[in-house]
Amino acid sequence: MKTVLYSFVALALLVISPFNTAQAHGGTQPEHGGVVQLVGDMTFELVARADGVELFVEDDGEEITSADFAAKLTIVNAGAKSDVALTPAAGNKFEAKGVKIPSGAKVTALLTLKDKQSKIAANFTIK
Amino acid sequence: MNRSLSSTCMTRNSIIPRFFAALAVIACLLAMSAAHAHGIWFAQRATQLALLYGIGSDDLDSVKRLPLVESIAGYDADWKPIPTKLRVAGPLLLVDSESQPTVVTAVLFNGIWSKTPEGEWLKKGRDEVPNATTSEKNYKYAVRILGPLSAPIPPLPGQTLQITPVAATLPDLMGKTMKVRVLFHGKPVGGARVMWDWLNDPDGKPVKTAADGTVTIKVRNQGLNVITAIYDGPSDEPTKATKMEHLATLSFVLPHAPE
Repeated sequence: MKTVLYSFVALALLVISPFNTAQAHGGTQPEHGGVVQLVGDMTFELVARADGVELFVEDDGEEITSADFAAKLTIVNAGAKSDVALTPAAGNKFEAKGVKIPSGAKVTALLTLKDKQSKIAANFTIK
Repeated sequence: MNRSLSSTCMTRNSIIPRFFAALAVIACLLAMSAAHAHGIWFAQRATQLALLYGIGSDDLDSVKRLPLVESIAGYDADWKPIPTKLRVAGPLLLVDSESQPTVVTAVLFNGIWSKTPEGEWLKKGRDEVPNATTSEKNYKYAVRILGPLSAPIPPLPGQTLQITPVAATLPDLMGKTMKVRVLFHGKPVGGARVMWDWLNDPDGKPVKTAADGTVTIKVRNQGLNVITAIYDGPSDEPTKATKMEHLATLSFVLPHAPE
């Protein structure tokens, strides 16, 4: 009886596991101390530092090469809106030095993909 | 006895094909009618926002209809325009905006159609189809909510018929109620026929808006929702069309739970 039960549990785990794997598109935990937004299978981490802002992007769990992409931020704070162009940096990082994002600001990161046309946006609220 | 049975069978055999033939005719007429009531809406395709044309699961050729698109527009949360255009990408019309819009809109003029006494729709005015039982000038409108709203959506340029959520905040779960208002030329209109799910329940029974333009529906999907409103307005070319059919969609997405 136990053998039958164990077989059933093993079979159930076998059936369930592929779905779990398929759903794991990207990390949701910040790796650089920022705020993470998952958009489809793209992970955006926005890091607001005292001396600038950084954006890290992963595609389906893998770091993109930022040099192949373009990114910008739209910052809305107290009714004022500004666009900030991000510069590709090492690895999957984009940055804009000297830019400070106020607390409470709403930020949209817009990533332009390799085809130079397609775009993916992620919305953040900075606490 | 056998002859009698045989005779009965023959009678049934002759009735059944007629019955199914009649059903087929009705189905064809319904299909032609449904095909006539196509709409446009926005949906995500391979991470990008696309303008689609069709009804239900019929996601038809939108690229060939690009010349019929009269306008495409994007707006930020303060309803300021964001430069937005359509681009052809394979079989899709993708929306290309300089910044991420809060709302995107489109208008498509689908021409003048006349219905013959036989139930066939022809893309001609009644001046060319003298025995037409009805002739319609067809406009399609679409509004897509992309970003969080900071205020209720105002009447938007070009959206002669427009569905707007009464509240600025959308429900977060399917099954919750949602009050929408249908505007015609920017003003609430009663009698517009609202359908809660244009994609998954295209043959559903419409609910008519009250005199203040409102109707309360349940949000159907934890995913893409496409609500539709249809309203027949007066013709601006009475020699060609007896009425103008306006079909508007409002689309938005309720996000799924974290994976």
